[in-house]
Amino acid sequence: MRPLATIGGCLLLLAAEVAGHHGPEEVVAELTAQLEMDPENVELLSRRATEYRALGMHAQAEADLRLVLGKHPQSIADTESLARVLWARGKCPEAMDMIQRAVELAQPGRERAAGWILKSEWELEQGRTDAALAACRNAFQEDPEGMVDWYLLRSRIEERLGRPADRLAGLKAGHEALKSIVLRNAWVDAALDAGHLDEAAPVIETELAKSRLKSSWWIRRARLRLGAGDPDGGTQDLKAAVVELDRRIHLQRPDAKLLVDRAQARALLGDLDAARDDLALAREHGADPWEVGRLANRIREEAKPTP
Amino acid sequence: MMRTYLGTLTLALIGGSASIAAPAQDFERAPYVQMATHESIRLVWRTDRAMNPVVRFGEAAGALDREAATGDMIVRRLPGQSGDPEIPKGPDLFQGNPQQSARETVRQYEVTLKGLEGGRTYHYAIFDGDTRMTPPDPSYRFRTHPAPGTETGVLFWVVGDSGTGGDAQRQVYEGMLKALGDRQLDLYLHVGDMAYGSGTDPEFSNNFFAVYDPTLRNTVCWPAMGNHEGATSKGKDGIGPYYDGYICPTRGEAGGVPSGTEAYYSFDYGKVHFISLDSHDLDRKPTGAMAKWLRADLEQTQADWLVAFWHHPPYTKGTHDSDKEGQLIEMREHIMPILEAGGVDVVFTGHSHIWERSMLMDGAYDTPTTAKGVIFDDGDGDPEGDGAYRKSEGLQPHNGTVQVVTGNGGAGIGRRGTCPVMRRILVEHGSALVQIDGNTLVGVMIDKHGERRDLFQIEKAGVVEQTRIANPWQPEPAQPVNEQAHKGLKMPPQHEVMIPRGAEWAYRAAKEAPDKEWATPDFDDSSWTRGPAGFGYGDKDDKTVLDDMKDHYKVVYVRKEFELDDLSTVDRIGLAVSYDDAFIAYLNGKEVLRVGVDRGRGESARGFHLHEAKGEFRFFSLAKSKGVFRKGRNVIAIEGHNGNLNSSDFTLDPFLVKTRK
Repeated sequence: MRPLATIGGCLLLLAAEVAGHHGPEEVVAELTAQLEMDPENVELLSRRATEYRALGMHAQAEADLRLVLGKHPQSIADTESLARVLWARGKCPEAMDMIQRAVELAQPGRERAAGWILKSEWELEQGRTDAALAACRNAFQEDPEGMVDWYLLRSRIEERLGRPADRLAGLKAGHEALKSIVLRNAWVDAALDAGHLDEAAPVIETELAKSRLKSSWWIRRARLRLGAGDPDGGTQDLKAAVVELDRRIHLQRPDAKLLVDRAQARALLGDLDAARDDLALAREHGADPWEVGRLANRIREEAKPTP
Repeated sequence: MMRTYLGTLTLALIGGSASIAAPAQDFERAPYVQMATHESIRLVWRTDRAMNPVVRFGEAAGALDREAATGDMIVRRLPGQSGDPEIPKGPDLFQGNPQQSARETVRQYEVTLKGLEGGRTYHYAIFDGDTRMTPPDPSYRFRTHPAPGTETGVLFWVVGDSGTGGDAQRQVYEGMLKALGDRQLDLYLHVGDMAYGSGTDPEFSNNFFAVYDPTLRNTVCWPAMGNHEGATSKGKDGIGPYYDGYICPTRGEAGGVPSGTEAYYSFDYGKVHFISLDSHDLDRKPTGAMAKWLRADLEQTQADWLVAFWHHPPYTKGTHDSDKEGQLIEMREHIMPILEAGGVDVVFTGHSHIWERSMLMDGAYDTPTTAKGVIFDDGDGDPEGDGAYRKSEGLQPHNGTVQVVTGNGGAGIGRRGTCPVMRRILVEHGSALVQIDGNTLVGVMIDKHGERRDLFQIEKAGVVEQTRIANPWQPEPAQPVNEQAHKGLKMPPQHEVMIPRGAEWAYRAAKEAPDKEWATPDFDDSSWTRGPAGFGYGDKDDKTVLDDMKDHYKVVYVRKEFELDDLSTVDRIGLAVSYDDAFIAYLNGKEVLRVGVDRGRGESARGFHLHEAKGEFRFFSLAKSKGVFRKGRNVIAIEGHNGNLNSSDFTLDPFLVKTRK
């Protein structure tokens, strides 16, 4: 139970927010003014930390969150927030402690699963892939249905660990549970990666028949055709994909995923220099480093002289 | 205790034929419709007790010849509550602390009406066993979505940042209903912040469901979550009062591709594809699941129009700044490239409490936002002005987008700067009505009086090769907020009176406008009435009472001569006024003060900032107009404005003073 003074302070704050303008700077100013009168009000401190995070002011957020947790060490949301702030500030060992603490504090079920996923993300970033997978599995034990992002994270870890069968099975299970098209498409890509062409083919043909924008599906079918020994068909699909992508890619500020797609199409067409250029640009525009990395590796492999 | 819906009833009666409706009395949360498709719809309501729910429906109010099956119902309760043994149990309602949650006795019933035909109107009634709970009123109806791909028009309402439960929210709603007239909305988009301050269950009931009940009972509201709802509801796990209140597609039930989450989704209405995103608490990066879903959704849609909506605006300088705040920057830098590569036509957002509507633009992803090279058409988009915006037929990548920030639905409005891509910036409460018919989209901003304040039109035909304008038209910079200039100063304690309080002025108080020269020194005001200041009604502070003003006219004109022998001290002269709501003052025919009126004069003045007199006099210096004073005879003329024709009071009580050194 929080003290009445805290509730009163929050009501005051909410009244001010409703009545007036409330950009994050103004909210910070309002909260700061109220904290001058009630400096230990954890609700206000927690709210101000949120606003500081929105403004990218991690040091200030960290200070507020430490005060909050000093008073309410059991607060999971604030523990997670502090973990992320410390992570963003590069304070790695302490961030790890906070993540572990968030897992321990969480209620069993989805809340604890979310803590495990945070830990899995952390481990993956530290390069501890096995530990990342273990954390991910713990999350699914807590909440077997899971969330779309969790399945994608697990798929990525399993690919890195060279477990294509687990990856395929996990994505399939995810699609069956959530019906998310993102998981279905990830499963198609995993099937192509694993050489399960027959499984992927019907989905690809169906999508090509009904999609308005077809480039990603042309590229998938090209992979299918090239894998099945149909280079002419593959080339035809790849050229069609590049034409559509050229039309969709904004020259100054492109969607990085479209650049990765074009890089892949160009690499498969044998135009490795153009593919490298696209990848460099994609990296510059925030493309998924994992996708960029795996494609760059493939290009390097392609570029090696044939013995 | 059962809630009553007196506010709703009042609103419904004011709202005209679009909403005249008897309120349902026995509900904790009155019935509302959700998740419309071309063959089904979901009815949701709450009671404060267990009941035996029966839903009858049919194609005429007097012929409810079908009944929903028990198997198509669920009941939702707080964790640990029991009852309703006959009805399948749905997911538990959100339980936070007692202030955030529903009461323990509350039941939420959700009933799917199936086997419907597309584009048809159905009426419904809810019974507890044999006892009818909804009144026999034709407003308890809904219209199914047209069959996928059907060529049909769509009329929808967009509002944001409205859920304060305050007067402005109700006025914006009334204004929309007035503008709507006899037309029926096909759907309603809310771009977030519908339940201030923290999106708790009671705040949803009081500030959203109760306020909009007359519309929600027959029109589906498709939401996007705002940061205020985000205080209690989480996109990552889909739990909270927001997710309890709304039923959004997760599996492509209403068109679009399955997202697997209610946090972001899409749906179709005829040839229009709508996309709702969670800009608040999910990964907004191009590598995130939401962005991946968005790409897949854009790949598949076969619609002719694409409308996207979410909470945090990619372009704004209203109460928020899209060059400084992370969520806004990320939506611009990461999500807009995907949407524009997919051919989006219009984006509606909120968060920033203002109306900002852009030119036809593309590719403005830089931070800070610049207009150079990103504008295709810098006209106003009004067919009666610079002309409608032109785009290619269908959905074409990078062919032009109009950005609309409609965070002016009820919370306090403001402006902190000028976003260079905007064509129309209005610091006024209001909302958007949008009509799409064939190849034409028309969007209007309706203010709280029901008046149109902005209009843009997009026409699609053939192939339009867009050209980027290097240096497009630019909006006027925001005037620095000067509270003293706007609301005057406290009366200076030492002053000498030049025109005394209660002096006799010539005045004209009638619906007909005066001669256009009325404020000039040479105007003959001998036919005008004389009376002592102040002028007004309703607040018992008036010496000349204008009994006929309410509901008949909004402007009162007054004139007064005064003499000046010495021009050396005119920079100390100022007008002292007690006023409600606004006024414009002229000195010798030249406008010298404008207080609480944004633009226009006389009956055509617009953009009022309401102000109560409260018996207080404010001082407005005329030092900046010292060159307008003349030696000898001068004339001060003032037009006093009432913000609303049916306002309960009006005050214009001026006198002229000179401050002492």
